Amino acid sequence: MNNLKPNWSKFTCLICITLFAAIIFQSPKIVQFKIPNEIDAEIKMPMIRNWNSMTLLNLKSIQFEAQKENQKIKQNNPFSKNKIAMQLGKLLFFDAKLSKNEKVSCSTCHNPNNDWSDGRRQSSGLFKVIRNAPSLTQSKYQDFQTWDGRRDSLWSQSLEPLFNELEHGLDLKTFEEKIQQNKQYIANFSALENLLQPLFKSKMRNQKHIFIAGFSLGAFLETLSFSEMKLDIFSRLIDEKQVLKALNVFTFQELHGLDLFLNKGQCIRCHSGPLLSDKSFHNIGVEELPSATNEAGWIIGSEILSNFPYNCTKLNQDRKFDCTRTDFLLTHQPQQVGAFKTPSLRNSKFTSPYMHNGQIKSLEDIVTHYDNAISKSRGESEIVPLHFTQKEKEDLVSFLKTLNSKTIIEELN
Amino acid sequence: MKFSNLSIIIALCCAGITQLGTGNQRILKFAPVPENLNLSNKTKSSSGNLQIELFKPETVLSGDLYEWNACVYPAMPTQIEFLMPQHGHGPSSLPSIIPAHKKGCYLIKGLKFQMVGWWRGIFKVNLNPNESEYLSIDFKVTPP
Repeated sequence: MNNLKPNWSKFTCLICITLFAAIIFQSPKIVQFKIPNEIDAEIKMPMIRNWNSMTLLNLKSIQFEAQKENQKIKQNNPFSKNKIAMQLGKLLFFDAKLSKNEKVSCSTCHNPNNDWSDGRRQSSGLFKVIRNAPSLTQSKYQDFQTWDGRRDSLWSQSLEPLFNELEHGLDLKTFEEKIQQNKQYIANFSALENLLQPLFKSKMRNQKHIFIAGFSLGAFLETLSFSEMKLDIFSRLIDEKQVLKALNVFTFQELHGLDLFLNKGQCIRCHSGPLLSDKSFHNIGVEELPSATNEAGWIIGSEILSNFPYNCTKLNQDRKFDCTRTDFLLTHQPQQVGAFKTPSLRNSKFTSPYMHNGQIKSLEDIVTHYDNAISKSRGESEIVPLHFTQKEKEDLVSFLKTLNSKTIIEELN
Repeated sequence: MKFSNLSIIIALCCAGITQLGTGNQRILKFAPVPENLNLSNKTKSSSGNLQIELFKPETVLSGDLYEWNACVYPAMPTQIEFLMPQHGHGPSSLPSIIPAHKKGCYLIKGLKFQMVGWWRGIFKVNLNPNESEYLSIDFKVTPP
């Protein structure tokens, strides 16, 4: 008997489908079905519709692959792209024996697992220093190294921590002894010695091993690069006029965050180009460390660089390398007081805490800092209050968290 | 200094506004971009007796290094500087500015603008040892 009972639920469902189909076929103009992507695009489209030509140019300039040619590597390193030097540099970078207590390597503060940073507020080698370790992924494209720009090449910067008493704590004699104790080092240093040009040889005299180490560390760091991230894809698709596809790249919240980044927040002014850094220095009013005496920033860094005997201008008098950044180095200007280098925002999600002294813990706190624009640094801050709503702050942070991609080691793979 | 002038300066300081430049060519830091920004490469003084000209490319890109020429008519000793009014700072390089072959003209080498947006070239023309006139030329820096 049970089998003869009509199945009312199935029957009702069938009627509904039939009626629904009839409505659709009879009045297709009234009932329109949209695929999810189209609905999504319709909501997002108004956000980008009013972007002006400057906003679109700024967006286009971010694409790393398209701008790769413009991002010349200016590291005045005679060992750039040399395979032996790159391999030697890698060995030196991860070797903790190259420190006074044999426990500190370059990777102690520049850990590949933290996007070549260390996740600490201030870094610590033998002792704690006053600086937050910056990520090394994009350092080859920067014009100046360190937070205050005291070096103009990766190779010369690489030597600084080795002989800093707070970091590796080596002296020239101990460094030489440690190199002589390692057979692989001896072989690689001998092979590379012949590559040093006569000019370098004459300038370096009995310190040639130190320079070979610096050039090799620099050559290794020049192999670090990053892969494409969401913003690169979005920018490329907008440039190719594939707007619908582009709108699928970001969520509504992330896209609103990008809009704030490009327009209301004007973050793009300093965080511009493929690095999302203008490679320059700015005073943004970051609170100084209570105990630190060295918070003057670029005004000190530029003076140190101009007096550095191995800066690009002084070392390359035959003009083999492009040294214009150092030839026309800005010094002794009020704008340099309390100014520190604009960091790249690529992979910033992984490099907290932030700023030159690690004073800001999270991306949320960074957005609040810019929004309030309260200056606690010496010199004159450049930033002004942004008057963001809480929702806008959340959306901007949501966008900033998309700025990540895998770090790759080129050439050595 | 007249009391009224002094009170204006005190008021500006209290408002947290910083002046850049000197004389009558004052630029207020954080000033918004003027609605009708004049992007001409030439400017005349209000009296019409002085003219300055900046020989630069139509498109100026951030991060590039430039070598420009600038002329003052009639030829007068002139100091030239570049500023970004909205941020209150100059370029990220220290350009060398030397007299060019043509009288009243200057060669500006090593000029690099780190930020996109509105920039201003300020010419301080020294009319005589006690008197100067300020003229400016505005331009826009765009992304590479």
